[in-house]
Amino acid sequence: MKHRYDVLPEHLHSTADAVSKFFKENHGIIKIKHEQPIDDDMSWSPTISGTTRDHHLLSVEVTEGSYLAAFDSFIVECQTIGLPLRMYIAFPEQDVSSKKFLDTFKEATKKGVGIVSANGSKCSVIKNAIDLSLASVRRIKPKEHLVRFRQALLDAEATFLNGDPARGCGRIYEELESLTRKIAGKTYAKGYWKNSTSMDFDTHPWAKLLTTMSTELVFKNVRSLNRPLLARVQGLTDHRNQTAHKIRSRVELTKRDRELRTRYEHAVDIFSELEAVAKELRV
Amino acid sequence: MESFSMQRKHSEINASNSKLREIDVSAIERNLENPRIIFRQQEFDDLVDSIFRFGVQVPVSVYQRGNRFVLIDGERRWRSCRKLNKRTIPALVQKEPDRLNNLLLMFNIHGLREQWDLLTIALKLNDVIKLLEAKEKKPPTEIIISQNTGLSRAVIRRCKLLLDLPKKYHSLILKELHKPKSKQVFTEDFFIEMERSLKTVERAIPEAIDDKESVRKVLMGKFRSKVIDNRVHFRKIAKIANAKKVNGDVEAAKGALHKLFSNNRYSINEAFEDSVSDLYEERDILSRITTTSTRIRQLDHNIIDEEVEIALSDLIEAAKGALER
Repeated sequence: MKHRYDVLPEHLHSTADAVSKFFKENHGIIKIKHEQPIDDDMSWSPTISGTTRDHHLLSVEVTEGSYLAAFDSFIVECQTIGLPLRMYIAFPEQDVSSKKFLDTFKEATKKGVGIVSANGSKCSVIKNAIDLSLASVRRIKPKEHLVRFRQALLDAEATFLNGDPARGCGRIYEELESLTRKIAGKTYAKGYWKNSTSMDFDTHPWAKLLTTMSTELVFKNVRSLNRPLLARVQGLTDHRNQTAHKIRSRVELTKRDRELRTRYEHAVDIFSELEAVAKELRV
Repeated sequence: MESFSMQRKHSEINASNSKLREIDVSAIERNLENPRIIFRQQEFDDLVDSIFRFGVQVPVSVYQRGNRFVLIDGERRWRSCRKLNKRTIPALVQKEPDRLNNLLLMFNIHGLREQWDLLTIALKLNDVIKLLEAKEKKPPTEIIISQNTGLSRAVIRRCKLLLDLPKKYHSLILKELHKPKSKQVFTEDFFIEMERSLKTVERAIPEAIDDKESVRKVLMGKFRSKVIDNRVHFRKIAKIANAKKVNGDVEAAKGALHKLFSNNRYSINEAFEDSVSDLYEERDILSRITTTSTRIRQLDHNIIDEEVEIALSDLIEAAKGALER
């Protein structure tokens, strides 16, 4: 179907129509709009916008030009209000080795923006977009972590950014659980606990293990571990066991993404502190 | 008839005709008469970036029609504001003009500020010519068109060459115009050079062209395959056609043109060499010798210095050598 475009240069109209059809048929996008702002207060009107079946917003910019500074402003606006939006740049097929394309590709990748190529009526996703509400999450800096934990943390981050934030959080919690179990076992083995116990440090329920550890451990024996830190780990166990419920609206999705972002960053911070304990105890 | 340029001077003096207002971007409509129909992406992107950073620095011009406003000048600024979801834009609001004045307003505003793509001017110029003819009850002269549109007569003539092309070439040029300038092959200038040369051939040796359309196809094919590697070479076709003016063999010129218009590997330079090249060179040398001789005769002998004497001696030696050969 041909749409009327007032802003898009005429020679890109057929590309925009093809991209619009592609997202409608292949991604099930509904409520498609053309050259309309997603929100009155936002400083950008995408060529195409719509809603996915799982309540995300979609924004597609059809262009053959450069990555604009205005894109960054739009991305920041989306991130500031935590809008669950996936942004794509759609190009008519062109020389992918050209400097202009490579510069745009590089910039888009850095910002979590996806790339779509349109060859006549045939479209293909070259790179998937990341939810902008998730993309603003504080990134892992590998050098700030112990070598043996780096890969696991980066995998968790990739899972989080690639559209499954709950699982991304889950992977951090798994690492936290594993590490705290090892710390508990090591401190017990070193005789830092007040009383002996018959619990299996590998299989005992995590929350109960942390509660017991909190009362039994003589904290002065471990310089980098204190009761408040252990209490913060205990605070995470509730989230660890939460199952993701089905999202029914964009408001719920926005809220969930915001919460998961906070939890994820909080869990990574606690993990960093526990790494110091692991280092001290040679876990 | 008072030309539009004159009227424009009046309206500039009477600035109260226009009011500067901040108006809703959504209340503005494109002007369907805007001759400028090509908006290259990179130029548009640059403007979007500029407005994003610095805002709209120059008001657009509109006229009011009911509750809406129609653009006279500033379509790219308006498009950029829509892209950036700006609510308002500064605008000079004028009274609604009639169709001819609407067109002439845009020609004068744009033509004096920056050069549009020529074909886009040509396509609308056709309308202007018809409207002027309807108004004055006679076809407007180039001077009248020039006075009203602000375009030079040379530009009007170039426009007419493009307008005379079959419509399929208009589409081809428009398609090319969307590309960045460095990527354009069959440009307006290419067609202007080619058409000018073919017109000269039609006038001087009409029988050299059996079918103009097939000649165009052959020449375009040669340009694409670089057998013709510079559009300026088309000017040599006109020189071949004007063989008679340099006392050349018209039959030889006709033969060279026939071969040029049918053989896909025969270049303009080869046709020129095979027909009239020597004659033009001879004419060029004669002209230079005549000019030099006249100048030498006019020389004041008192001011001939050593350097001039050496140059004159060299000239005598060169002339002797040429005569002895």
